[in-house]
Amino acid sequence: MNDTVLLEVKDLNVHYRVYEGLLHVLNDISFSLVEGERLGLVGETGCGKTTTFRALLRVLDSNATSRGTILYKGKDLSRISHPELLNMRRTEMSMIFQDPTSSLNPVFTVGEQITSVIKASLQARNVNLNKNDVKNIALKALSDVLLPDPERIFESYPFQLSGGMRQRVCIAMSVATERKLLLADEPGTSLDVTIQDQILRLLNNLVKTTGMSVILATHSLGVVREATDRVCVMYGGEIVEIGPTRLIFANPLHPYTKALLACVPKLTGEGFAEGIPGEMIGYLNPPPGCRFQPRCIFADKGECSQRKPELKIYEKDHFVACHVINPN
Amino acid sequence: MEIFRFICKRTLWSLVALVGLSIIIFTLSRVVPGDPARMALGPRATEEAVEALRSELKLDQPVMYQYFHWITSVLKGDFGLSLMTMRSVTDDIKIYLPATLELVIVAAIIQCVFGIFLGVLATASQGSYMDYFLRIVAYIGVVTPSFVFAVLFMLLFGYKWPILPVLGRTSVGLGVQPITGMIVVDSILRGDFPVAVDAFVHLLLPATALAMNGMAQLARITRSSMIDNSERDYIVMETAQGLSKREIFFKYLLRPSVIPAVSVLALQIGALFANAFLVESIFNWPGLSRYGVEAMLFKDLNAVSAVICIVGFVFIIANIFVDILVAIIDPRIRLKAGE
Repeated sequence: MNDTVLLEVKDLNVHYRVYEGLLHVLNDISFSLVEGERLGLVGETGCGKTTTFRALLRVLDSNATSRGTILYKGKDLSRISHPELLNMRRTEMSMIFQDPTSSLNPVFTVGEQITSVIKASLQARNVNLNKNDVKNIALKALSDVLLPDPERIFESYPFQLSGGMRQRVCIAMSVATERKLLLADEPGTSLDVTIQDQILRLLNNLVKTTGMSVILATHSLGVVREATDRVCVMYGGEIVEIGPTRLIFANPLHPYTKALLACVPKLTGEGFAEGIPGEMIGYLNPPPGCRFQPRCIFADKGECSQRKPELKIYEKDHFVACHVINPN
Repeated sequence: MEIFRFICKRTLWSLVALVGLSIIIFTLSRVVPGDPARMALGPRATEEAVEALRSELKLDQPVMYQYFHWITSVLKGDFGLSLMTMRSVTDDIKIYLPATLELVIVAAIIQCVFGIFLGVLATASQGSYMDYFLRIVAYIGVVTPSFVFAVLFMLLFGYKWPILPVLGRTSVGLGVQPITGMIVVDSILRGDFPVAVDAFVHLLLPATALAMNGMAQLARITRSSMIDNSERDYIVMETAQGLSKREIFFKYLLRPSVIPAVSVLALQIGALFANAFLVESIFNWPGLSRYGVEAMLFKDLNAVSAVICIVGFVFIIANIFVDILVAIIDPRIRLKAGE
């Protein structure tokens, strides 16, 4: 890992226009990533992890609008031309989609889909390979994600495969050709723990051997601890805490991070974890102050409910957005 | 291989449907009030003559016996005597069925090809003036009965700008020795291409008038299913992977999106036969639908049963064909049917 900044996101906002009004989902998200880094994106369902990824690749739904700057290798992704965007998707960045049951086209074989992706990527790199070589790349990618009998998988239609197999096909598609940045959206959710472990090892290997960076969105804190260098904790479309993985686990600052860590079931198995009382904020009319304030046990009536807390440095590399926590 | 199993299974089920259809047709044709023998002979015929005809038609026998008598002769290709034309119904059908088939097949092709094409065009230009224009055209196409189109086309292309023929199946004096009865097919088979062209040109207006409703519906269905599918995860994923817009649109989006349109086509083939009656009357097309309606008005039992039977049979064949088409496009149907 060197210190060249690969990706810098500044004040990213994403709104969705729906029948009831405007959903203010991402609210001034800012973070950066250096080459070869593994960043975790943690938070409960609906906190904006997938939206962040889709904003990076510019594949938001048609009712979404985004604002803010996304600098990739110093280039503003929201200003690049369509051919540049295609090139970026084909050679620089790829995304593993969360839901394996709906992310594969139901009427084409796995082989047709994965070769399309590989061909597009090779074309952008000006590499000309014949059909057989492309197929071999696909078969290798399929066996890399530990799919048994890649030849058969290659000929199968998605509905003939189990959820876990489909998820691995999605992963294979994203890592079949080399990328600089992998956006992994919960890549392990429908996998057995043993396979999930091996997939994470595969991603780790790619990071080591090719210098790829990874942003890993997950709600599994175990995965985060094992597979990331740094963690962004998200709540309600905002980053509430960001810092090196080690520090986040050793010294969680934000009340939400603390509560999240307290929810992890202990192996000693003494009763259930507490959970976090209250529910996720609605994005239609989010509170003007801290978005976690309605569920926060430390919140005071004044500042917390009126002014949005900024990310402040607490210790080296460790930032937190909370009015209650004071830097020492 | 799996497609072969699919076809076999589908055909077997169709046989069951055909038996059911024959029972329904027979029952309906016997329960309608009125005495066919009296209708055939007219009010001045003697009671003895009517009685004689009744026993000749087996109308004095029990219903079960009548059904088996009828179905065995139908299976031998004999639908009995038409009371309207006083000829064998089978001979009549041999003349009229190919004319209607030709019309309906060309109409089905027109509505399928142009319907899907217009749907794709509307999707590609979504939100633009082209899209709105096509939407209005489609709404007009759906709500306007086909006989209005028939009259309109006749006035426009036969009278205002006489570029297409508006009457009959061929120009006067042209013709071909029948093989299948479909003039375009026969003349191609016999190598008589001028006649083929002439017959095809004669088909254009009636077939287009007949196709308009279905075409408009297919265009709307194709458009809405393409737009629905375009925000599916797999399309987003393919976009995110950097596939070109063209590849996504014409390959990965189009194929899953035409499935509903093709499935609806099966139902529309029935509507084509029904609408063919008016279009045939307007264009003076000697077809089965017109023959069938005339037989109904005349209470010509044998002819009516035969027409419904034939139309039902063709409808079932068309459905098998459409199902096979859907199975070819959609692997989920093809492979799950084999299990």
